[in-house]
Amino acid sequence: MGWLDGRTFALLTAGLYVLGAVSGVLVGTRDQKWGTRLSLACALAGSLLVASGAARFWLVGEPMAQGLTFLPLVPGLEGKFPALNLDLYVDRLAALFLLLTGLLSAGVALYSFAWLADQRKPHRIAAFYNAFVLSTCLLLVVNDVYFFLVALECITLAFGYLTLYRHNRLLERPAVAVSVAEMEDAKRAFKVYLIASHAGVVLVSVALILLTLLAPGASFDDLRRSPLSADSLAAGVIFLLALLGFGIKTAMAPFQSWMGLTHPYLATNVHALVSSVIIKVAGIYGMIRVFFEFLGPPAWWWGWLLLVLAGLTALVGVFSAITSRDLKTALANHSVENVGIILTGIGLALLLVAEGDVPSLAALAMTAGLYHLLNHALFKGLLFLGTAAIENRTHTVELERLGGLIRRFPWTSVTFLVGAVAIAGFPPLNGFISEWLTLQALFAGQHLLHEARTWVIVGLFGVLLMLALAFGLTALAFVKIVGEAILGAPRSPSVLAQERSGDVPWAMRGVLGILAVLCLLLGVLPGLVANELTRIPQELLAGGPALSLGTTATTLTLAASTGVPGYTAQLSMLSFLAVFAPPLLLAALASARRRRAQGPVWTCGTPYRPEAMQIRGGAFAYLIWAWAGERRRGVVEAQDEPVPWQLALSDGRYVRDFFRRVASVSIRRLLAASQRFGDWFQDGDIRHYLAYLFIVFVLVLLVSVLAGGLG
Amino acid sequence: MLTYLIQGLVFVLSAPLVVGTLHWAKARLQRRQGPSPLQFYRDLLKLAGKRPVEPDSASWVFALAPVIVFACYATLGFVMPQFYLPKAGVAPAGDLLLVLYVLGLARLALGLAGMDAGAPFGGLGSSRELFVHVLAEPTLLFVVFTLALKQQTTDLVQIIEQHYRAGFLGIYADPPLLLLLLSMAVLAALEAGRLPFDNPDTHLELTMFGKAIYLEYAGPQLALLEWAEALRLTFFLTLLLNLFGPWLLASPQNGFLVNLALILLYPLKLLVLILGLALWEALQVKTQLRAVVTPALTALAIAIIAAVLVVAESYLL
Repeated sequence: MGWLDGRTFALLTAGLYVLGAVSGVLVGTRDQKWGTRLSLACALAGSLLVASGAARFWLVGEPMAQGLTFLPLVPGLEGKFPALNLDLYVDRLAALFLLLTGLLSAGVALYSFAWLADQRKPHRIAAFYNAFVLSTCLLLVVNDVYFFLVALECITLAFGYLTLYRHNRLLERPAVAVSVAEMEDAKRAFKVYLIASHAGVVLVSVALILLTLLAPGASFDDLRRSPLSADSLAAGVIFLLALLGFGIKTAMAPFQSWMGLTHPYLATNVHALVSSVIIKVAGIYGMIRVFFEFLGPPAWWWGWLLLVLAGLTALVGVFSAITSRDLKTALANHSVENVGIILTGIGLALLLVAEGDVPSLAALAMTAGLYHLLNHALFKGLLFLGTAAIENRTHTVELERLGGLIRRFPWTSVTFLVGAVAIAGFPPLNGFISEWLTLQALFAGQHLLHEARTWVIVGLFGVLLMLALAFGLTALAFVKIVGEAILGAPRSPSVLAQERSGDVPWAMRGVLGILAVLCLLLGVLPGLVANELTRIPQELLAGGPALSLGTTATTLTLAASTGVPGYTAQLSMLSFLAVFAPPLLLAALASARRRRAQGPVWTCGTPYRPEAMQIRGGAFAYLIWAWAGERRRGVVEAQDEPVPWQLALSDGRYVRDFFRRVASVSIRRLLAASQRFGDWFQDGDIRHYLAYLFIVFVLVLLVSVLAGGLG
Repeated sequence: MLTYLIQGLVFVLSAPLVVGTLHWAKARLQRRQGPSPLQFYRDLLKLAGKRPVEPDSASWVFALAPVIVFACYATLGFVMPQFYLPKAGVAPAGDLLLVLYVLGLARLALGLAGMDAGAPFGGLGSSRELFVHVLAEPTLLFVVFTLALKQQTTDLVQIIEQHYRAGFLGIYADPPLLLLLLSMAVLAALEAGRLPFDNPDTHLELTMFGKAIYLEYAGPQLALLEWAEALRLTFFLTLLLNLFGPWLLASPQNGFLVNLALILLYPLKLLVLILGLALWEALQVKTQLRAVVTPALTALAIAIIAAVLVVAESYLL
């Protein structure tokens, strides 16, 4: 691409997205159909450019930053406002995220041509989708604090509009059909998102501004040279702020509640992109940048804290997921869980950088996290687009009203099933590989145990326990989800009646199929991707030796020679399949030998009523709740709460979400306190207001005098 | 490679005999004459010849599940020595974490099948099966973790070899390994659906874990499931034998005659375990479903203590 330098390439891509956003709004107001199509075409082209650019960069090599200074936007101001110089910088970490964003966003755009066709005012969704993807890509390529924060805020705004989707849909329906509670929920999604996201942005801003103050400048290059040392107070404070900020953005426990309250109110196609890629761009990408690049050598408790919170995130996510009664909420909560698994890898890497003398082990941990990130993007994208397909056909995502889809919509259902097995982490699909890597990294992290602090050991044990429970519960959750939605007999005659016949259009099937094949490929040929991913820790953990994960595409080997003292493990998918396939084929032949007859289900002689006789999700997970406590009888009361914390399992039982309850109570207390302060402060007495003015005046004087004295 | 193939075949083909013998032994303990140990083969043959009936509401998932379940448990026999431990480095896919996930995959397939039948009882069975999975998964993982801490690998064959080299006292005078034995014995009973967790001999399938799902199966598919269950029990028995009695495995280090004797010993040592299990089950009653949690979590606690002890050892030494 000699004629196309980086600058032109970036401008072209950005231009496409801008064109998409503008045309979506302008053309769409005249002709919704063509406006949407134009806008989506721009998004598709732009995303393909992003993906191909990222892929090409990955293959070519060096981190690149030079020669991409765009601005001055305003002539004559060059150099005076460094914040106006938009430097672009791409390294392998950014390239991975760009590749995923591009791929998934292209898939979603292609998918949306058909999916948005029956939505009201689709051009608006398409237009904001463009803006949203553009701001995400901007976040990934910027190289200074100012534009990073701008991009973060752009994401928040574009996303904020998109969370109004459900609200807007409800507005269009005749008023009788919409209950007050439904409307309140939809409005709350927007509010909760703005508050949570801005809380995150504020904390991140403070952390980055503090970093900037300590470094020579605001460019990321300056921050990379930041002179912070591990045990300095400043580094600790910045770490905590960044952890909280990015943690809120990526829905890490204990701040995960906003996700379940917000994401299900997105349009499902957008939700696919958000859940599979964007939450990790806003949070995990930022964490890796700040923790591994800007903050200098880490203290041991950073990685420890991140690791423990990661385990907690996984566990809490999966517990909320099994309370969820509709597909979108359930999947959104599973994203929380997967964020936990990814962060386990990242946190372990951070801990090992601080504690260990074996850099390749840290590289292994980070590779595990990144592999899971990649996998999660694929299977979560697949599951959400499958959900969108289900919604498109049946007009509902409520688990208790679906059922038996596999016989009517085979393509959608089979790909959904593939995604479910992948996310539950079973071989031979991709989820298994990254879980294997994560667990091996935790096991091999035992080398820490010989020298380490007791807390590190306790942390490792705790994380292993929480992850193990989370893995087991994920399998349960997906048997429940797939069993309710896809398998069995239809559970609701009314849904069955309003259903569209035939599987989804071919464009949608194609995207689902590609994602499912990718899930299988990354599971069967793990070496291919894992070896490429090791180049990211190689760049980030400077000085660490390269980690080689085996040599063949199907085998991952952690041998003693990779630096982990004495520890060996090997995973060969090819030999697994070679052993697994013959009994599978023989058994399949044996069972297919005779023609099968059909017969009624055994129901003790009473007439079969599928809507009443099949187990429901609430009952399915009942044993878990009977064991885990917190289950209560009774219906959920109308909750006059900032954040509702009673989650109905079924019509007669609910559980109380601890984290939401804490959030709810603290929000209420905060509101009450601010009201009291307001009443005291704004008491209406003119003399007090004059006094305030005077105090401010004195303060301004003081500051200016002090600043002058210093200057 | 060939040795594993032969051992795997022996494993798959002899599993029904193991369960048949168990049934016979239990009957003898109850002073019944009992079925012949070969009865299980006859049952399988009879079922294989029948025409399967599927529920109207089921899809291909229901039909495929027994195949996957069978393949999962059969696979386990090919990645682990049964009676002959060849030289290192040739185990086909013997990573313990992989084994753990293959066990899980069988559970998943069975659980999905239970939901797919659309039957009232299948769903209950799925729910219980997956509940057991949730209870067993942390324990399994901590067992593997402890072994990895101890032996620096998760490869099953390498672990068996190291146990072989450690000698009798190296294992039975080692507190963490003894705790592991205890934990794994409980785990095996839980995973294989034996008493006190689940009563495999009852005719009330509705009260059982996986068997509530079998209710809708017939013919060859039911045969596959029953066979798979026999494989599962045999796998856990052999695993315990391998880890805690590796010297009874034939190996290239021994002379020909010794090896021959050890191979002939293989059915005998299994028989001892089977008789022990029969005796145990004759004395046990089934616990209530929700009370299953206590022994299951006890096994987990024991496994964690074992891991802690290994860590503590490395501190002291």
